[in-house]
Amino acid sequence: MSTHHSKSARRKCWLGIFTPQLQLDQLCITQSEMHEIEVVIVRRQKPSAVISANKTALQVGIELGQTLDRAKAIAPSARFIEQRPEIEQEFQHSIAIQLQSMSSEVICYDSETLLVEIGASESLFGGFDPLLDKLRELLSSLGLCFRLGLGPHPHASTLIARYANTAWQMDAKEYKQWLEQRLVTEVLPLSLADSLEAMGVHQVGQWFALDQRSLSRRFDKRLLEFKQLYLGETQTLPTALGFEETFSSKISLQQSVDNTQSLRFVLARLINDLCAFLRLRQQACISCELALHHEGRRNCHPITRIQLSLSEATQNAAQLQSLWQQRLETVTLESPVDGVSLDAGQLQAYEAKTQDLLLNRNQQRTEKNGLIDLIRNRLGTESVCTLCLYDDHRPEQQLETSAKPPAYVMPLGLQRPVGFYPNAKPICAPQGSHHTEYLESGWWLNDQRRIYTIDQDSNGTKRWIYCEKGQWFCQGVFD
Amino acid sequence: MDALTPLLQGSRHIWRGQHHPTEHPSIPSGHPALDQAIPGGGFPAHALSEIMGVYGVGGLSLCLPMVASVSQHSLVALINPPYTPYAPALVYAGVKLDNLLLILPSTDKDLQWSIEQSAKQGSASMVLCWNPQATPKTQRRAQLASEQGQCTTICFRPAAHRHQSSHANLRLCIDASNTELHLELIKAKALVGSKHIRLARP
Repeated sequence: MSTHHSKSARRKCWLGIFTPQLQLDQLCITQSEMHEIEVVIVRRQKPSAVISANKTALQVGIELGQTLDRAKAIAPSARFIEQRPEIEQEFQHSIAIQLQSMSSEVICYDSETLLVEIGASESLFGGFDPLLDKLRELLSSLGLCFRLGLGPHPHASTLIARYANTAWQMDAKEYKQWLEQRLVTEVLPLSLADSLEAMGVHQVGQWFALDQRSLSRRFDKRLLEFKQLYLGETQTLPTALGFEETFSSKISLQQSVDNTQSLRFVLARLINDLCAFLRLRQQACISCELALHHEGRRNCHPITRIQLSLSEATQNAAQLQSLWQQRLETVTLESPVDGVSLDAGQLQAYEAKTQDLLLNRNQQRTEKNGLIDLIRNRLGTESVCTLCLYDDHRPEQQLETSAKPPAYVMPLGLQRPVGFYPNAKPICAPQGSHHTEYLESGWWLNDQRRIYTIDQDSNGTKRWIYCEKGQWFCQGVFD
Repeated sequence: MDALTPLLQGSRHIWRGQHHPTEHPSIPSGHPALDQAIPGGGFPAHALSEIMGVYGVGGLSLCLPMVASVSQHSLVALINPPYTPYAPALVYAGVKLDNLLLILPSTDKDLQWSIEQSAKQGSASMVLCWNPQATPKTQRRAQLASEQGQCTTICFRPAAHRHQSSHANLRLCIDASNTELHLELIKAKALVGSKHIRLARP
């Protein structure tokens, strides 16, 4: 790294991250098959031109800036997708949330550039180089095509990231030399660049050498503002991304899908964002909701909402992915989906698990909860329960199928069936029975009195039976 | 032949006639007469076993000592029992209720899924399931899931299924009289023919 950064570790140091093909990257991440076919993103405004294309499309001859007609002539089988700024914005926001794990100041500078303040994080990561390695690793894991830029001030960093082809970090002198060699058409809006070019000014150095006040008077005062911006004389920056209290993220699909299997990549992406959000805040979620937005603006199908609840708060992406996958397998889409959003409901403080050599009680509890969550989220809450004992003379009141802890364990010594029917089954009068036992409830509880006996039916099943008002009932079996 | 012997001995997927699979772990059933009859000395661990007979004649009671033992330190799942397992009787038998999970699927598809997932996930050390619609295919999946999740799975099936082929490592038929349980061991590793065992009814 340049010495000026390490010597002034406390000074803010802004890293520019240029992401030239956000929409294409988002498409390839959420729909894996897009890697195999030619995909071209075209500008929405006329004249339509290619603004990004995947490797497969570039290999067949598609070039950036090509007109749509020409691109279609070269690769008629390619998938041409119109640019959608809202998709890029959503994706950039989710990247910014991930970057908050490395810096407290992340700015969405423009639609293609992010600014990250890394000066304060240097010591945390053990220096600039490990920090930048981690950052590159993170961005690559997000499937992004990106370029970094590090300059003497934030605007310089964004310019370097966007336009520098070789050196990506420059000190003030190097930056000024590099900037002066740039073409005005690269760094200025087209209307301003045209005005300068009409005067025979082609390079930024030539522009800077002119009298700026007279230029501003003659053409546009924005010229002076741009010069101040590029030379770092303007300190204003867009507002940094705030630390949101709750997680809510949406991914708009560029092509609608009609089965939940196709949603798994989108879901994985959302879950990764959620877990990054949780890790950053030392929090864990106990429930979350997935909303499937169906295509069509008018008279469309209402949003499908799917809940996932957990026995124990987690920030484990693999666990959430497995549970959501099982949950989605039970969902049938009634209408194609063109957007997916994930909202983390309640958040709790994250309790880190201690690792033991031997299986401890906490680990056992976690494993049990894992199975409970898996079954509950697929089959429904009522499908899993635990057994508890309650102190009551009435047999049907002595057990509870719930997740509540046992209230009281009664002393036992009496013969009881292992199979129990809470709602006793009516049976014919038994032939012979034995082991009579008299049970009654308190007078304040309907004053129930029953005489229980044991008999055996024709199949050889031992039954626990009683007679009430002349009718015999089977309360359980000694299976 | 000398080169073949270690290969045969090394693979637990190859069963050899009258060769006791001592390397395969087993769980004592809690009934010495039954353990003695089963080659290996108990129910095969991390594998599928089947108990076939009329529901209610004593299948669960037969397994209760095993359930009690396993539940002391790990999770036991009961899937689709035809009745509610009665907590007082289970506690009396020594079962630790904290480690017992009751799973009640509403459809056959969910039942098969629950059995496979519970066995495969690795959380439960023992799964007891009542599976009247079991087929050779579902049993094969359950067997593989048990191996993968290191779970001992015991499947209760109707007596009519005894002639169906199955991938279970152990198959028992159960019947009862007034005082005794009649067990017929029809399949086990290294078992030749079948064996009849009589146990006192609890």
